[in-house]
Amino acid sequence: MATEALDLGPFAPEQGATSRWAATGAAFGAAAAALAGIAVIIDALGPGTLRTRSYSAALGAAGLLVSLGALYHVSAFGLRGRRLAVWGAILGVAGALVGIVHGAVQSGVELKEFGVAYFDRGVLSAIWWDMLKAGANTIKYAVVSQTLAIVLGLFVSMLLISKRRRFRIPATVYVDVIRGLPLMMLIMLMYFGPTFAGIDATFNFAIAALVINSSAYVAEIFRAGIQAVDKGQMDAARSLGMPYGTAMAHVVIPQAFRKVIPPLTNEFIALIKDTSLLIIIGSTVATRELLAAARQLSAPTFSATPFMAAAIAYLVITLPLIRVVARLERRLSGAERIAFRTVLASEGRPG
Amino acid sequence: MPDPMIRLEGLHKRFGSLHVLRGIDLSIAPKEVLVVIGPSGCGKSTLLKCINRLEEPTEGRVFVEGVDITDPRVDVNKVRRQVGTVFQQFNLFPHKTALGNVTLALEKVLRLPAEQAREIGVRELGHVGLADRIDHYPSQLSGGQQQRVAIARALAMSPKVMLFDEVTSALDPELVKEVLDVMKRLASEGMTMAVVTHEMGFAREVGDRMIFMDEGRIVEEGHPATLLSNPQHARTQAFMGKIL
Repeated sequence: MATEALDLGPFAPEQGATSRWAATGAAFGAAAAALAGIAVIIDALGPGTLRTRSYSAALGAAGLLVSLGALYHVSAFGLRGRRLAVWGAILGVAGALVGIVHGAVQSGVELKEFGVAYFDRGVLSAIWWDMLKAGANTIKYAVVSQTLAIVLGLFVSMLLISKRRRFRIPATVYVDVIRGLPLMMLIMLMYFGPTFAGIDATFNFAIAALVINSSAYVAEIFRAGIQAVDKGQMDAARSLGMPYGTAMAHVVIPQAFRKVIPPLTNEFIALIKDTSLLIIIGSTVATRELLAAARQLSAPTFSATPFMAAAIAYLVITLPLIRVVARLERRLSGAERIAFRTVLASEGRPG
Repeated sequence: MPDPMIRLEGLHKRFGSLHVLRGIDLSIAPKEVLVVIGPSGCGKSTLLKCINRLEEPTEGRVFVEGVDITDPRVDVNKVRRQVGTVFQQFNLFPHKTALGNVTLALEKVLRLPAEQAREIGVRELGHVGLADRIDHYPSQLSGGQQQRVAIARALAMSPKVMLFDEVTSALDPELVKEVLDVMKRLASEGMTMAVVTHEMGFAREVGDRMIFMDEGRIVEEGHPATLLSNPQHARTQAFMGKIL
């Protein structure tokens, strides 16, 4: 192998450890796959037993876990070890799948009926226009909430970084309290609460709950972004006679903004998914978002197809954004990324 | 003797329990080039930062042209227009071009119209030899070029005093000269300067006066040539012994 020609001296990786992991993974995966196959054959030839089913599933899962572990440990070393580990993982997954399907069939699940429940063409053609409208609502709620949350969050972040305690403490309490509450509870509090007080709560009350919730996370993102800007930038701006606000607006925030776009996009993805919580307040055909629409449409059709349609619709919206975040993160320099992640991690924010 | 440009009286600075400046009395005359030397951690940088209140003095007073700038009624932003600062790490604004770095404060602080700010920016960048680099971003410039942009940025505000905080320490050796040359020319044009540096050749050639600081105090002062070749105080001698 080519690697043997290279004399890495003291920098040579310790290949023993990694290839041992990989080999274990491969062995487990292969064993799982083989046993699952045997289980199927036994099952085909005679009456299946509970033991074969358990073995196939458990070994498949074990193979998957160990080979994933191997993949993690192999890191950058050893081409051969990596190949082994990859094969271990593939075999492990295959074993697990065979085990699960085998187990399901054994339990008397009719695969065809099962498939139709999730993907019924008739139902799909009946609901697609309704789902599309619901998808538009989901996007609308997410965009409106996120826009307002950014405005509110930027304001709160300014208070968070203030040197004055009378600004900083209320802002910190706000962010901590919101982050400590379940969003669904917040929605119920803001939507059902006013009703009991004799106020006619509109859909906007629930949207406000989304805004308030997101603003706390946005505020933390901006705070981290601003604090990740080198302190020398503020020094330089102030030394030129810029007042604090001017220095913030023209020097610090433009640089922070570049850093916060990836986490802010992540927050937007989370918010898109969080709009599904609006399902609890009950909605009309005109106001319902994807999940509410799926539930309402699944009852009369007696099919899980609307839920699958909703799932696909969510992915159509979120997957491109997820890729965008990955691309943006790559564009930030390594040091920037590390500095920012460190600040974020210290706050225990969700990724 | 003319009124001093800068006068420090009984200046103390504490960071919590750390006592960084322990009673500094110092004057800088107009057109004087003061060189500040001393071991790291002796308070040199903090001293400079107190002159434009990037650090608030814990005790004592700072006068710029006779005005006590530690007075709370003073508009510190106006003081800072008079006091240009150049930092060890350049601290250029990375999202602005060289020209944008120079014109930002002209537009946002002095409220000059864009064309006039641009005119000044082009002129100042020309003075530091970067006429052909005005549209480059900091990341496209060498360390020496970045530091010269930083000097141009400070000079564009027409300050009365310039503070230089180890401005060549972060530079590769071959880039030091181009920055020192700009500073030499500035001194010869009569700019009042306070220079924290380890460049003893520069100090000897350009400095009018030199102070040696240690543990937050001025240990010894004198003409650079005298102080460098014939230090009186034991700590100064020890320091010189290490660096020369």
